[in-house]
Amino acid sequence: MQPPLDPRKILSELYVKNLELYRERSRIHEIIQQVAEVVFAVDQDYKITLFNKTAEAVFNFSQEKAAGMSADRVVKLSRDEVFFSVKEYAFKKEATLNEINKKSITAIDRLGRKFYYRLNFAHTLMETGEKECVITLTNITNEVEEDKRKDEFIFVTGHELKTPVTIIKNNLWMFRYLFAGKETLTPRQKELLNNTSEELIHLNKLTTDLLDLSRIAQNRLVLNVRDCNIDQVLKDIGDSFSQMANKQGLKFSVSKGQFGMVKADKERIYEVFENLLSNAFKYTEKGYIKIGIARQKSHLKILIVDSGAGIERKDYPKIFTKFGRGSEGLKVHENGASTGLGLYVTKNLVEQMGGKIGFTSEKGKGTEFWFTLKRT
Amino acid sequence: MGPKYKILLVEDKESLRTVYAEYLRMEGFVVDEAKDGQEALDKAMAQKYDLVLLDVMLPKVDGLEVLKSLKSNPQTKDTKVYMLTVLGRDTVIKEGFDIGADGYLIKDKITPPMIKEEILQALSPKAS
Repeated sequence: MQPPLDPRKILSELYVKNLELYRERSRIHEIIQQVAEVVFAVDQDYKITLFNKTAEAVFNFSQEKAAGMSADRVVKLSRDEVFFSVKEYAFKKEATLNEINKKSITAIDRLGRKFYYRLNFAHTLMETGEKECVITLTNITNEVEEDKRKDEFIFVTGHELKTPVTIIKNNLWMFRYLFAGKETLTPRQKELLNNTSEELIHLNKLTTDLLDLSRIAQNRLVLNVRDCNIDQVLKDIGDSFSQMANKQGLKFSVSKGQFGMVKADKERIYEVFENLLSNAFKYTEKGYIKIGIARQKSHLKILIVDSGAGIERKDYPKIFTKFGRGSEGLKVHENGASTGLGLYVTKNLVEQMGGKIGFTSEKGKGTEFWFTLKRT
Repeated sequence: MGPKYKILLVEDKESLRTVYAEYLRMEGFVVDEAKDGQEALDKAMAQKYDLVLLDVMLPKVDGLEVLKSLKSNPQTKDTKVYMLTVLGRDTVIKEGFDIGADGYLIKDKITPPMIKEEILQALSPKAS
């Protein structure tokens, strides 16, 4: 038989539990208030329901004033220099939210200093059925500035490397030119000269990739897109890569025909071909490499097809990303390791010329990279 | 070989300037050299050239300044000017065109024969 209930005991237990709850609540409140992140929340009408101390400092608003106000009147953030509206993103789907941090989120403080933030949205469903959106901002100013210094360093270094590379390249060229027709070099001397030239081409390509990478990161890649004779480009590319094909024992062909003018940067279009072809040559041990051209309504589609190693399906998402390398790229190849820059740069170049780029591949059978250029 | 074109080659890196000048002379051009922006301006004012190959990053007077002076002076404004630059100075090319440059050459992408081709194309009667 149960002992009779003692109302006083129940009351005192309730009191203790209530006190514990209260303490717990204050503790959580205090944590939210004191964390280094900006934390605030809005209800379904986008009115502020929570506003922590860091938020007070960043947005220069007191909690008391902010509470109940429309978030867009309190939260002053920019996304790539355009006013960022909380309304546009609160309670939105994950896909939309994933886009937010792709552009830089900034706030200017009272002294005019600029700070960078990473935004995070979390949706909470209350027991009452009401929804709230909790938004946190992490200050990433140091990381962003560090990144900018890194990009600038890469740019300056790449640029400084270009001058000696250019001088060596020209001197070597002149050296050959002055010797032309005179049989004064032994085969071994010629071989040494050829090896030096080949390595220099590799070094030049690497510095070009580094420079392009830093320009893309700094949003300062500017192309001179003009009318460009694609037939001339195809001829030059064909000439310069057929030697390599001979050396590697590969069949190499370029689509025959006259394709006329396209919109392209006359220097960078070579880079696009060189990047795609040097990959094809790197990953193809036997068989063929061919350049195909297809006329489309307003574009020219250029295909670089090889019978090489192919790309594993799991590597597909990495192919065009910065520093992304497939499993083949991680291996050390005879012609050097992969930096994971080439295709990232190539994609950016093609897109800035107004084209698209993509690939299809089958592991062990080969790869087909294609890109388009506007016809004029 | 066509007419004897007179070229002013402005480049501060001596070994590069020497190779370009040496090659162009062997190909029949008359080449004067300048190692900085001031020397370039002095020479361009003293006599008439068919084309100026102008490095952009120069001591004393910057290449773009030289370009501005040449294109704003009635005596030199019709002289063709090709900018010499290295990759990555993209904004410089755009600025150069805005000031009135007739073309540009990216040094790390070209060989001496390509410079010759560009000069001949720029100076061929049908180009102008």
